[in-house]
Parts: sequence; structure tokens; C-alpha cells
Amino acid sequence: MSCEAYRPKLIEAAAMPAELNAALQEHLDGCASCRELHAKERSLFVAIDAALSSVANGESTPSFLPRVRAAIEQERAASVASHSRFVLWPVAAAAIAAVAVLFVVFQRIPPQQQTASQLAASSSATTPATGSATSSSTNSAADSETGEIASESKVAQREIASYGVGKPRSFSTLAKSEGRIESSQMPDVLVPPDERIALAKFVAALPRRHEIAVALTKPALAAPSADVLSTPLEIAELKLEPLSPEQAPSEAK
Amino acid sequence: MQELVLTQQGSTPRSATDAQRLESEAATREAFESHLTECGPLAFRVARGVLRNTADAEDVAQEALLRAFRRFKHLRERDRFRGWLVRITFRLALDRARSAKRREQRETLWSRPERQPPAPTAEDLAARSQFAQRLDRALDELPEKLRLVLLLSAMQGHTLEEVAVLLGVPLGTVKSRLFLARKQLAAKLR
Ligand SMILES: [Zn+2]
Repeated sequence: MSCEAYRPKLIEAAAMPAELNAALQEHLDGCASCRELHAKERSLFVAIDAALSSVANGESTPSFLPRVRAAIEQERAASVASHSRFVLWPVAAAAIAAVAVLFVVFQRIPPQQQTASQLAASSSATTPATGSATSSSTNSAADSETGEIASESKVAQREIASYGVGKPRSFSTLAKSEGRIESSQMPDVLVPPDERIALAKFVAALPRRHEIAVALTKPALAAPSADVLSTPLEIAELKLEPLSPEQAPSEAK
Repeated sequence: MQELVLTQQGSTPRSATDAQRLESEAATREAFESHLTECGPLAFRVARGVLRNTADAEDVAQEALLRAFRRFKHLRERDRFRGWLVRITFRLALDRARSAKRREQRETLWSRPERQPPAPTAEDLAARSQFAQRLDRALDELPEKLRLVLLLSAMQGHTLEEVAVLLGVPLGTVKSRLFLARKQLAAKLR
């Protein structure tokens, strides 16, 4: 076979290094020009492999994976938020309805002894948080909720004005005294005077803060009582027996 | 405050669902994290193999990993994840390279000489040998399927069997593509 016939085979052999077949090896042993060509092709592929290895094995910067993690975390948070908006819509709607009901109830209660302005003044004097919120223009820009708080606190002050700041009163007591709402319809919540603005602000913020509403509406975990788990006290002279279930309620009283 | 107005009847199913959801989210996050640690560098290398630029490659690999995250429920299985990630990264990198090329052509056509990017300095040229530059061009001209096989098989620690698994093709196909790729590359560089 001529050199021309061997050359394509030589190039292929250089491209995919493998054992040369016997006939080709025999030709190379006896043909200097084909040997030279084969060596040249081999060195070309050595250079190609070195360059390819440098192209294919680059190292990323140390910040690459942390940046990917951060981007994924951001995306996950966004998807959780949109999920919450969808799933928690009934909760949000219920919270809005509750605020609306409270607002209507307070609106219908006539103002008592003190005027709204007096009450606002006294409440801002006793509750620093409200004072700073109402003078929101002087607050730092970092507090982006200031504007909202200011408007909420106006509502809160109106609510306070409508049922007065004296001794703590409960919503239900107030409503019952007005004779408009059955006791079973209103929950019994005692609100000290200096916490009324905070409560009103909290209730007003619920429609926007789903997670708070969810946390509040979740039932407490049914954890076993510590009393049940404790071992009876052991004193050498005095043997204490655990109460039998029948005795327990009467003894507890 | 816990016993306030908001005691909601029948809220147990929702909280149970929430707990299940949180649990499954945590498991998903953990599984994805292990894939990310293992395959993040692979995605980067595929992108860099196409773009030959670290910053661009990181951008593309990040986009590919984000897409993998979005589709993760279909990609939990390791080999499936790796294969999908390699293919999407390669595709995104090719798109990026093409649009960069188009932009470059536009700028060359329309920009005045003084606006053209500065010519590479002696240092730039020294950093990349002439051979490497020729190889870059030759690589860009290879058919995509051949180029991907060539890149993957040039990565440290990749056997041809692993490349076959990554690409979801038989080993024989990988071998023949690799052979063709090397021959075509050599023909351009000879
Ligand atoms: Zn010969």
C-alpha cells in the first residue's frame, strides 16, 4: 500500500489514540515521512488537548455559588410570598372584615366625657410610640412605615376618643353596656388604656401582615402537661400518692 | 394577646397543610443544595467552555441553575438533573454568544473608528496564545452537538461513559461524535 493510502488512517489514529493496527505500525516502522507526519499529528492533538482542557476546566470565582444561592433564596421567598397571598386570602379577608366590624362598632358609640383632641394629647403624652408616629415628618427615612402608622394612629385616637381612657374596659363590656351586641358575639378582651392605640394599630395592620394573623389563629400545640409527666415526690417518712382522676377536680378547687 | 379576638374554628387543616408544606420545602431545599454544590461548577464550566469569559459564564450558569430550581420537582434524580442542567446551560451560553456576536457586528458596522473597542494590548495577546485563539474560533465553528461532546469529555474527571449518561445518548454515539469533532478541529488548526 502507498503512503497516500496510509495517511488518513494515520491522522485518525492520532485523533483517537489507540493501539495502531499491525499493518499501519509496520508501515510506520519502515517509512520515515509517514512517521514524521504521525508525530506532527500527535503533537497537534497534544496542543489541542491542552488548550481544550484549559477551556473546559475553568474555575469560577469564590462568590459564584453564594451568589446563586442568594438568587435562589430570593426567588423562593418571592414564590412563598405569592403562595401566601393566594392561600391566605381568606384570612386576609376575615381580618379586613373584623377591622370593618370593629370600626363600625366604635363609630356608633357616642363620645364620652373627654373630647377627641384632649384624648389625643393625653394619649400621645403617655404613649411615646404614638407621639413619634404622629410627628412622622421628623422621623428618619429608614422608618418607611411611619406614614402608615401615622394614619393608623389617627384612627386609633378616634377609637380611643369614642370610648374614653379611664379604667381598662373590654370591648364586650362596652358593647353590652350599649345594649347592641349579645355577649356571645363579642370576645372578652381587656385593653388597658395605654395599650389601646397599640391594639388599634395592630388590628389595622393585620390585613397586610398575613403571617401575624396566621400565627395568632393557629391553635396551640397539644403539648402534654408537665404535671402529668413528673414523678411523684419521694420522702422517706412521707409517701405521696398521685391523685386519682376522680379526686383531682375537687381537690384542685 | 394569644387569646384575642382571632381564635378561628377549624383552622387545624390549614396549619397541618402549612406544616407539611414547610417540611416538603425544607426537604426540597436540602436536596437542591446538594445538587447545586455538585453541579454548580459543572454548569459554570459548560458556560465558560462556550463563552470563554468567567463573568459571562457565571451569569449564564446562574440563570441555568435558577431554571433548574424552578423545575426541580421534575429533576430530583441526580443524572436527570445533571443532564438537564448541562443542556440548558449549553443552550443559554450559545444564545448569549450569538447575541454578543450580533452586537459586536452591529457596533463594528455603525460605530466610528474612535468608538471601536481598543485593540488588544501586548499583554492581552501574551495571555492568550495565538494557538488558543485559533482554537476558540475553530470551536465556535463546530456543530453544536460535536462541540458539547468535545467540551464535556475535556472536563477533568469525565469518562466517555459519564458523557453518554449526561447527554442521554449511547456510548457509541459519544465516541463517534468525539472522533468527528477532533478531526474537524484538527483540520481547522492544521
Ligand atoms: Zn509512508
